[in-house]
Amino acid sequence: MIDLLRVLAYPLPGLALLALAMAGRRVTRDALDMLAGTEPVWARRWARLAVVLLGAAGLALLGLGGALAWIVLRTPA
Amino acid sequence: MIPAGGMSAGRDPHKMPGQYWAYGFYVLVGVVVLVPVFAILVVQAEWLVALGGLPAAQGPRGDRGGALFRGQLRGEPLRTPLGQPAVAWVGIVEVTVGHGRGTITQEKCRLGSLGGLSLATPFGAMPIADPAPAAVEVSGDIWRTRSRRPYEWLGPSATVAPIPERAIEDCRLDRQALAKDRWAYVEHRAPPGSLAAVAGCAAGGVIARCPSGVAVGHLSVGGMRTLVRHLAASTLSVAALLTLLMSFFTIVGGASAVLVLRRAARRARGLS
Repeated sequence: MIDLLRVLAYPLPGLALLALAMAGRRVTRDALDMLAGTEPVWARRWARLAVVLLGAAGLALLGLGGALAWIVLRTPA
Repeated sequence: MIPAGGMSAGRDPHKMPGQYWAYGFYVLVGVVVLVPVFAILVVQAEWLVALGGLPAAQGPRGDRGGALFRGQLRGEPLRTPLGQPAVAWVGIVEVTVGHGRGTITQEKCRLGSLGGLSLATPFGAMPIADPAPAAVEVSGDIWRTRSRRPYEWLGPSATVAPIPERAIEDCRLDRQALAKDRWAYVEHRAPPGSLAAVAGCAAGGVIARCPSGVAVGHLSVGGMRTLVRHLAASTLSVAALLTLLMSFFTIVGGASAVLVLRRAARRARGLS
């Protein structure tokens, strides 16, 4: 049972990174909605770049974690 | 993080503060490093798929590409340096020494017995070709295991300090040196009657490493899933640690930029 829980936790690091990217996307969008084009361009670019990169890293880690969990669970006990 | 003075008067809020160029450089380095690392980890995952997907042995001849032999592990009853009963065991003496501001742990000596084992399979007892204790991997390090070193998962390890007397004698350790640094003894053992799985090829009725492929004689007490789980956890730890490390400056730069945007948004709301 504990072994199963450990395996099911493999996707968690990827999910955590993805959640961080989603939270960043939301606060960036909220701020940009209010600024309506008057914001510093570099800050907008940086915030968007961080969201994209963290999202990509989160997806990659989620994919790897999910794949590894699947590999372990399909191995005969 | 936030530019000195932030959006204060006298500074052009539209000009990117200097430190962000450095953040950008580290982010670029992180991306360049992470792509090949993930490519290697995907290859490792494929290797684990092959190991986990080995077919169950259908007879004493086995499969040419390797098969999974399951049964009860039998061998000469032994006593480990910790006084525990075992049919196979590996004991490692480690020393932890100061290295700069941190410490480094090194393996000083390896003892053990992995010989004379056989597996009581449904189609009869099959001897297992015995590797030398020094030639096997017991730590679950996937980087070493993939280099065709057999991995022997003998069960949970026990770590003790001080070093048992028998290990000191067999390793011929200097007793004065033992008083200096931090020494520990790590023991892995398979108790008598353990159920085990071996990934290998059968040649002449003996389970041995296959000439090619993933079945290089890995032995796992409790089934092959346990071994695959340890190797998968090792792969994921490397991936998670590196991703977090490489994402650090992305997070720092992104969070600072978001704070700048929010501050600007608050100011704009105050003006409207």
